[in-house]
Amino acid sequence: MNTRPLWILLFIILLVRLLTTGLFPVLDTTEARYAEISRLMLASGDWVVPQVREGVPFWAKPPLFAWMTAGSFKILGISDFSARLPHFLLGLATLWLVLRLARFELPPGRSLLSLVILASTPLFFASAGTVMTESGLMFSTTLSMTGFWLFTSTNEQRWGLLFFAGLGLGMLAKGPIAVVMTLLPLVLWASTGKHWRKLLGLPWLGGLIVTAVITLPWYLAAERQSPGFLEYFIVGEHLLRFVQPGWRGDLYGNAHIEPLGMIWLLWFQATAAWGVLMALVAGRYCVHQFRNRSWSWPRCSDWQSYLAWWMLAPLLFFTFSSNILWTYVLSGIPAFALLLATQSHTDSLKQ
Amino acid sequence: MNIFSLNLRPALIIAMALLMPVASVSFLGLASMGELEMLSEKDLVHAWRSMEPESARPLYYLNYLPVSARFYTQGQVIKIDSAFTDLLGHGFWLAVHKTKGDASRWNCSLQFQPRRGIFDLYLCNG
Repeated sequence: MNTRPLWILLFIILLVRLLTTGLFPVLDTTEARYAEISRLMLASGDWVVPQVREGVPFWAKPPLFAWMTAGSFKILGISDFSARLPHFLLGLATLWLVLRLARFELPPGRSLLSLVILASTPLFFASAGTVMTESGLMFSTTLSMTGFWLFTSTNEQRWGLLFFAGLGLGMLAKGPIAVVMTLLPLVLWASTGKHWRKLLGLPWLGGLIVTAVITLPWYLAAERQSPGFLEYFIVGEHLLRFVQPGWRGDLYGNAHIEPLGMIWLLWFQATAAWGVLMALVAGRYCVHQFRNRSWSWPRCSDWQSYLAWWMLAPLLFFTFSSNILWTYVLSGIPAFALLLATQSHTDSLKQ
Repeated sequence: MNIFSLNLRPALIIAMALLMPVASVSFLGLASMGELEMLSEKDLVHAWRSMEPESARPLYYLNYLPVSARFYTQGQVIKIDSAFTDLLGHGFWLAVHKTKGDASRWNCSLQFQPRRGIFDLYLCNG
């Protein structure tokens, strides 16, 4: 079949994103703050504890974003383009992982379609070229979910270890929420599909060592150099922030107060027209079931339910939180693109 | 046909795939024409640097200091408030919020109004 049109589309999307990364200034407040933290990391030479102002530690996020952006500043100099380039590259790496996973389950046309869908969702397009922590979170969760699926499909240990490497990277990108965004869909998938044996079959001992080797050195060094970091970051940022509306412990900004369940609407903002298509499919299913007075659980393959839980995990998790942003759904967007491509059929993609 | 399946026509795929590239280019175009507000102090800082290449007269922000101003000046900027009197008798540059700021406390003249950003740049004699 001819996949060339899809390659051209993907190339256009990525080219526009790359060319525009340096054409507009670093924006207040979030992006400018992360860029400034990275600049201070390079200027101070302290690559362990990020600083929000000179001498003031930044405890709200792990350092992966700052390492990448500060490294880019060191190589390319300080500019809008060099600030955003690492996040664009992480977006490319995520696309590669999705392609690797898709090619295992889907024919070439639909594999490529999943990349086109992913790259053209507003949230992915924005994050692949914005100084933020979410691009690292998306990459690490995608790494874990790809590793897990390929491990269960091939039984090769390296994929299992890659799953745990993703957890470690996620801890450095965003913290424990990365582990939640990875394990929650797996637990739901295992529970609803009776796949516990696959989940428990992971190389847990060796894998947790991999995760610990990636994660612990920085966490211990940061707490040692900046006492109080762990309490603020683990308890404050990961518990109180979400359960206390208008949490006042935020040292670096204001809490975002949204109505409960708002995350589902933000998902439509993140996926735009592609999300509407997905909703239409779900709506059609509901109407069909209503007419037939049948309310059985949808029949899905293991692959489809895997993607569905992966996509839904951030939505379910943040449904009862009011302190949310639209970027919080990003870790599930690669699964959304894969699921939509899996369900699609088109004359141009006939195999 | 499976109830979950979705018929994607090629034209639909192309239209939806190109939505974001077109939107981002349009956004940039509108922003460069000043039709969209972009919260960034880049233009103001560049104007200050071009008019004060040696940074002899410092740049201050009145009442509020955006992070992007710190980023683009590489930390060479300070926030002051209206009660700040140490500047009297010295020349300095002052960034004043377009709607909420008031530089009448000092003898200032407007030098630059960036199309992007929410501050104007004044040159003040103290």
